[in-house]
Amino acid sequence: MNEAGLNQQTALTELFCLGRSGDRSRYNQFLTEVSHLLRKKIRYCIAESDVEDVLQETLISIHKASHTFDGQRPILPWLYAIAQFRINDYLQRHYSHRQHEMDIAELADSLAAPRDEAMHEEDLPWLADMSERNQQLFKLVFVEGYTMKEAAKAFNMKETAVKVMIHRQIKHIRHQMGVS
Amino acid sequence: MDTNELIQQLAQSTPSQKKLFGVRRLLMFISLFLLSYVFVLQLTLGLRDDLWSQFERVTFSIEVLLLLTLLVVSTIASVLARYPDSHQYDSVNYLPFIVFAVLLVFLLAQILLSMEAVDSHQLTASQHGFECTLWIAASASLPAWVLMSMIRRGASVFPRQAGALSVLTATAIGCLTLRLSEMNDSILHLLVWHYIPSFVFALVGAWLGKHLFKW
Repeated sequence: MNEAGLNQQTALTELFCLGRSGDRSRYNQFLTEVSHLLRKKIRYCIAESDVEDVLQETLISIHKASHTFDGQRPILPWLYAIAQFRINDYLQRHYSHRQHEMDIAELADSLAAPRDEAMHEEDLPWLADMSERNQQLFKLVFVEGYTMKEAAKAFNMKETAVKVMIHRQIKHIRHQMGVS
Repeated sequence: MDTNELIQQLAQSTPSQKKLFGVRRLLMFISLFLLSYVFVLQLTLGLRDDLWSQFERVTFSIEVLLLLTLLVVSTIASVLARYPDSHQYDSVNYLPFIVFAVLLVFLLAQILLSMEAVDSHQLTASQHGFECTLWIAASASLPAWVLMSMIRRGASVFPRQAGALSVLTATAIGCLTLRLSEMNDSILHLLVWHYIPSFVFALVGAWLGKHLFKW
């Protein structure tokens, strides 16, 4: 680390320690400087539209984890580790959600054409492999056009449970169709 | 909410939690606790009659040494795991897994190379099975709970790894005490009832860590 980096680290550590001892203005200054520093890192990994959300989550995490920093160790690795943890957390949520949305959207598209015509079970051979309940749920969402929320209400289930069930079935169908 | 507003809010409630113990001090406390625990367990179980003659066997000595190393490095890694900047000690964080893998490979190699001559008399003298796994699980409960509580009070950024490490430390205690007391040198027995269950427990620990160390 160069001299400027070391100076920055010393200054931040000092501000943090003063903030911890109850000096609110120093703590405010610490968080402001940290936000400038981490915004760059977060912007590097995450889409611009979500940078501020992740930055705010990171600042809250820094605040919550402040008791784990004793002022003796370098502060920058500590800050960056927390930021990286929140970035990873965000990316994990983002991609699992995106994959889920894509699966449902793709299947909805593929089923969109026959939706106007009368759909028979023989048009959907893979439906036969599903349990009765899953078949009904599938038809409700993809044939009759119910939203996930409506389907969940009709089946007296949680919306997330319906999403998970459909997600699993789509994976199963993809596997059967040999689509990766 | 705007980031500046959030900063204002956070600054109004400056951190109120007590500062955690430093790494060295905490490590000293945890080591003392684990040492006392090992001592009490060993007193309860007793030592095997032929322990000193067993130490003349290179394979036994290496195994005990590896278990001791596992206990020491996994204790250090567990303590470090509670701090977000533990990645600075990456070599220490992964060392317990490497030592455990070496231990398993060492035992497997003994089976494959038939280095270990099993004393049939000793085998029949004390033939344990599932009881060993139960003992390891039971003896690991308290240290695992202590270590997990300790990590939970921190802010681990590798929750799965931290969970696995705490359980690995705890099971190493059970394995070590049992190895020094049980008159059974069958490598297959050690693998099936001691070390493979420890590996499974570590996986459970990783799963627990994911859920327990959220912050």
